[in-house]
Amino acid sequence: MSDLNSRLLTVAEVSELIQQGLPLALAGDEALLASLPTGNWIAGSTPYFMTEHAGVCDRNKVFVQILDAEQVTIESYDMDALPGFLEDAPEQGYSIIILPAGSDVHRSYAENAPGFPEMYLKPVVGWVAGMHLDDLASGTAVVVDGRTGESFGNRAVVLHASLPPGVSAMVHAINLFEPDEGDDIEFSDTSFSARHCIVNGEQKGLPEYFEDRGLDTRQPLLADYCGALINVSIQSLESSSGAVQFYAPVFKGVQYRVARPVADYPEAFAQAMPAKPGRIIFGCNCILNYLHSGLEGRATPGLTGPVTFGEVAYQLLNQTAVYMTLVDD
Amino acid sequence: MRDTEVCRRLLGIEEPWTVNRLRIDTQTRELHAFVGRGQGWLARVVPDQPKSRWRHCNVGAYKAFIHATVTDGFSDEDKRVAFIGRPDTEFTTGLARKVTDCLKAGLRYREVCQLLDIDVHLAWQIRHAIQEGLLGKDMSTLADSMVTDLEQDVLPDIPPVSDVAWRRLLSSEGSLNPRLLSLRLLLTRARQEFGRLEDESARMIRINEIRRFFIKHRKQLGYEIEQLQSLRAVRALSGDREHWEKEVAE
Repeated sequence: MSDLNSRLLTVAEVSELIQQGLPLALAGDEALLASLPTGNWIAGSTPYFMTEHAGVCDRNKVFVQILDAEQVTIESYDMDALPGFLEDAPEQGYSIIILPAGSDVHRSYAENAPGFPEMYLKPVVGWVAGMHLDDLASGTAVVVDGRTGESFGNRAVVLHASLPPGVSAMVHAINLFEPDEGDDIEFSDTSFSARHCIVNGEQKGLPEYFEDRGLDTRQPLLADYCGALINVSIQSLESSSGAVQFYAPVFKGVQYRVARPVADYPEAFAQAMPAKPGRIIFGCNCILNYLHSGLEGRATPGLTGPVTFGEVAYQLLNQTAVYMTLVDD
Repeated sequence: MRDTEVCRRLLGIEEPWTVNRLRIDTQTRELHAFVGRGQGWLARVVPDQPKSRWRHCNVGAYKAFIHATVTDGFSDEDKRVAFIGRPDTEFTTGLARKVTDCLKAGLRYREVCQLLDIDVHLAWQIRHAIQEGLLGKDMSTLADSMVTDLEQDVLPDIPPVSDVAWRRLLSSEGSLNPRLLSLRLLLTRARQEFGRLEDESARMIRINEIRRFFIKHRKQLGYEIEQLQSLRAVRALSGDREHWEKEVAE
């Protein structure tokens, strides 16, 4: 991504870009977002960012991604309207969606997005807005519709962008985890939490299974989607309640394995990121990668963007870096 | 008069069907009408219900597309409605009638396609439907003239919806090694659903959807389209498809 198109800026600098009419995807502290002028932008709350230099936590600046587009429309969607959001997307273009963490629209998207009309046929990337980790108990995540400046805790905001003929948007995900050679794990329901699982065909208590294997909750569960490895991250493992909570749903009928740990995330990321990725117009990375892999003060070469409470590359992902490129047909 | 009502009249949509939503894509010059047999709560999008998309007759300079969920099956009455199509096609009955009317009036198929802005993939699909007698049994002479006219074009490298390759692909019998993330995810979802779907119409909608993906991303999918060709050569499946074709033809 060009340094000029993806940067951490002051409110004054961002305001200037907005007033130029540029289409923007923004991320920052809720109070800063509330002070911005209206325009062609959408935003979500987070104080964590991957800049070109390093991962940072900054409550005084806004992360800006300047988008390439011929035309832009911005919409917000509640629970009822959300399933049809890609029907509003242009035939030749892309969409960027931001969802507030912990909201009903977040949960609905996570569980149902694979079945939404036009899903996978039109490019969509995005992220789940969050908050400073010190504020987890009291804070709320918000998204902002830049046309009006209105913020929402239970709606998704989406920027639909059209591209000129001959240019296509491509969605990419970098997942550094690989499955171990252990058990096949399945679940009987699609859910953000599970008490039981089926291990190699035998039903077991999930917390007990994790404890017996001495598994580290920093290691996600992994599923193979025709060669794409998709993570489900573990939020908590509570023996007392008998349930394991996840950051994304496990899906009924999908086989999972536990991921092997990643030794040095920035180094592995540098190897996984293509040397010439093309014209990147959007990027983001997961807060769990930021925390577990110690990204504060360390860079992920070639990819910048907000640090998020969930990533969207069509469907909701965890512990993954997502980016979108524009390619000439 | 509301935009949806204007659109309903322009597209010839009759009650009990209504236009619930409209999208006009000025860049691609496309008009998308989302229609249903209900309004308000009944008209909202429900995830996981297969939705069809058919190309309809143009409205001025705009290509028109109809989107609808036919949840309660595809009745005999539905088959006669001009503004929707069969689940295994990407065109409405009304567009097909317009094509055959033009052919009967003496236009060559190539000229009809140019006139109605029909691309090569849709052209082959309509030709196939006429040839198979799905648009009426008295059109064999039309079909013959269309074959010679279309053969001047390169045969599309993406198989028609009736090709066994799609069923093999979605029933997991046919292996494909996709490179695009979108295709990997789409194929995974489609395979999970395909085995569970009992309704043949719903299966055809899923086949149409994945075929549309291949057509839309054709330029990025050279490697995958090559793999798809190998699935076309294997003729293992037949039973239910033949049965279904026979049934709808009748």
